[in-house]
Amino acid sequence: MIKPAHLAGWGVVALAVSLWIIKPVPDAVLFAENRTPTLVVASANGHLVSYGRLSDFLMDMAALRLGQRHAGARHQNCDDMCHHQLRSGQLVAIVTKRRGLSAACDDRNAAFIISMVPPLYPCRSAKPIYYFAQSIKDNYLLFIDKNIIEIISNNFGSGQLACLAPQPHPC
Amino acid sequence: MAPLIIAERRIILFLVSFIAGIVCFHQLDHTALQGTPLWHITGAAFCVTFVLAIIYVWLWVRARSGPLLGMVMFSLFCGTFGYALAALQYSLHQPAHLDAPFRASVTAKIIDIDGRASGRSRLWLEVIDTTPRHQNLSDARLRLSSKDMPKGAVIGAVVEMRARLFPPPRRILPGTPDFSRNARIADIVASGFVTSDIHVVAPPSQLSAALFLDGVRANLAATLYRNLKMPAGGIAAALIVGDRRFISEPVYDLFRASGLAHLLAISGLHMGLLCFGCMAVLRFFAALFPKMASRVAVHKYAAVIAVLIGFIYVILSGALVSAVLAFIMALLVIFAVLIDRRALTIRNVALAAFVILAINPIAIFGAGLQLSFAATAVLVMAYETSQYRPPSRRRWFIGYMIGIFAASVLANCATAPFTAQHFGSFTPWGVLANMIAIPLTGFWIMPSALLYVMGLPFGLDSVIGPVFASGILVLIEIAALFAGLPFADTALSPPGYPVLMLLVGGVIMS
Repeated sequence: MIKPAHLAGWGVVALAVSLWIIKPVPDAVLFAENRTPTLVVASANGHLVSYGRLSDFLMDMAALRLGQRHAGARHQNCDDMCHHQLRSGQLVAIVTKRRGLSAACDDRNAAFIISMVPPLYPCRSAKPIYYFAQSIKDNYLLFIDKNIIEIISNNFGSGQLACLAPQPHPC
Repeated sequence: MAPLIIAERRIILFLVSFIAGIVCFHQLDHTALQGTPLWHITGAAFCVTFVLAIIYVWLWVRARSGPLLGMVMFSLFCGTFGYALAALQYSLHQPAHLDAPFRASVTAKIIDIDGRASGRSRLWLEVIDTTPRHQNLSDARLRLSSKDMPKGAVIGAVVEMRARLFPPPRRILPGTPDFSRNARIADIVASGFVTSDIHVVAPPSQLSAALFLDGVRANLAATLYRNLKMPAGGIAAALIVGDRRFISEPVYDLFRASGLAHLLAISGLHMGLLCFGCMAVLRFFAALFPKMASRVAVHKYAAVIAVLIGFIYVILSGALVSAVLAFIMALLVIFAVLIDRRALTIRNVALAAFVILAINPIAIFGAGLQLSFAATAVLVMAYETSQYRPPSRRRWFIGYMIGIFAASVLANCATAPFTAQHFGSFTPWGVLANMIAIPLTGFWIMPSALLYVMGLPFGLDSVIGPVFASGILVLIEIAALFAGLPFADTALSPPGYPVLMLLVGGVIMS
């Protein structure tokens, strides 16, 4: 006969598995601690893409958190600006040099811009620009939900909404 | 809570409290205690533990506590004891570390070598001198990676090189392992990489016992690698001395993708095969002399010899956490055999975990202990449950295969969340791969490995070597077969420790 405690045990297991399934998975990782900011993004095709050179160790850490394999990862040479299709299918513009910002602002396909360089002006089209390494030099997990990005750094535990750039003061 | 209150399983609750104490020390934000020396925190924790112990003993002697109160008191004691031990371990390892990157010419003694022989080797060094001098680097321990290793750079040798040194890294990303914790316990002051050729200044001399043993292990691994050639030599070195340097990355990936990577880390499987295999062989030979076998408790003598062989194996393998857990389990099982008690119980598994965590509390954060403990605990729980069933009338071979299948399924299910947490992967073909690989390892590879090592001093290795190597090559083929199947090594997001704790709690209750 199954005892109530055993049933409760299976209930706890089911709860744990459900929590695991619904737990949000980050969409991107930004390495900025003691280095040039480098973005690693999970893709719709299941492969990681890094927008800058990273060691195998850092790629392993990114792969672990993004839930995609390091083995199929590729390094994307992003000349000024490039597009990336996120796991959710959303297209974003990634800017690596300041001159790419104008093109990214004018681009109609990209939902928003992730910039590796500090933007001086907002887009005329009011397209959101995110620039993370503006105040502190940490590594970040990026959770992207439509046009809103939540960040968790290795220096502070809880998530906070990423500030849109440019900002007059660090936010 | 009902199953936990059964006397046999109460120890699990105590172990959970003990682990919670260790985790609390490492997870709690100590900023509130900033400025308080760690020694004071450690001392306070031990005082609380002592007081709780006195209260527990007083309640027990006066028989004033019911079973529930006694259990709660002892759980509290275990929790604070875990906290105190974790604090003590941290207090004993407080190396001054570098604050900023530093370039220097380093003269140091090699104390260990790991990494990949085909890629980057990792040197563990004890600094003798640096130019320019840095006060935090005198007599410090460093961990440097290097592409090239000269022939004479062996454990105990003094070497000279230029290196770029960095402070030990913090946690890289939230939810990833905290390597700085391990670096602190290993007294690592800085890590980095070698930027010049490594020059051997002096060969090994006046080695401590630990360094001597490490040297023997490294030599044996190199001999295996040379004699058996790649890739069999590398895997032989991993199986016999726990040295995985000579396994190439593609071969290691095959084992990882097929769910057979656990065979490359010395664990309960290897220890069980060795100890209990030796016991069986000794009892078999003793049975050839019926008069003696009927007068003497042969199984007890065989058990003692098996323990000694197991001990040598642990020492030879570098006393890795999984190997030590397996040895303590074997020790408890054999002790139970000696005093005619039941051997494979969850209480013994918990006791083994207690011993390991008391010696090295930080091991709780390592994949080795978590995977070993999850697999062993689930298998032993299943074994305990199966004891109450009537004996099977199946043929032994069918029974054995069903047993292997059930064990594979259980071990895979138990370790899957931990594998996802540490390696971000799931190996769906692991059950089938293990069903073939475990008998192969048990009946072919491990016995031939034992004969090979025993034959080395007598020059018999050339006879047994081909048998041993061919067994390993078959194992690699099996790994390659399953690694090539669809969905092998599926990427999985880590569940996180709160989910893992819920899962463990649920399994214990059910």
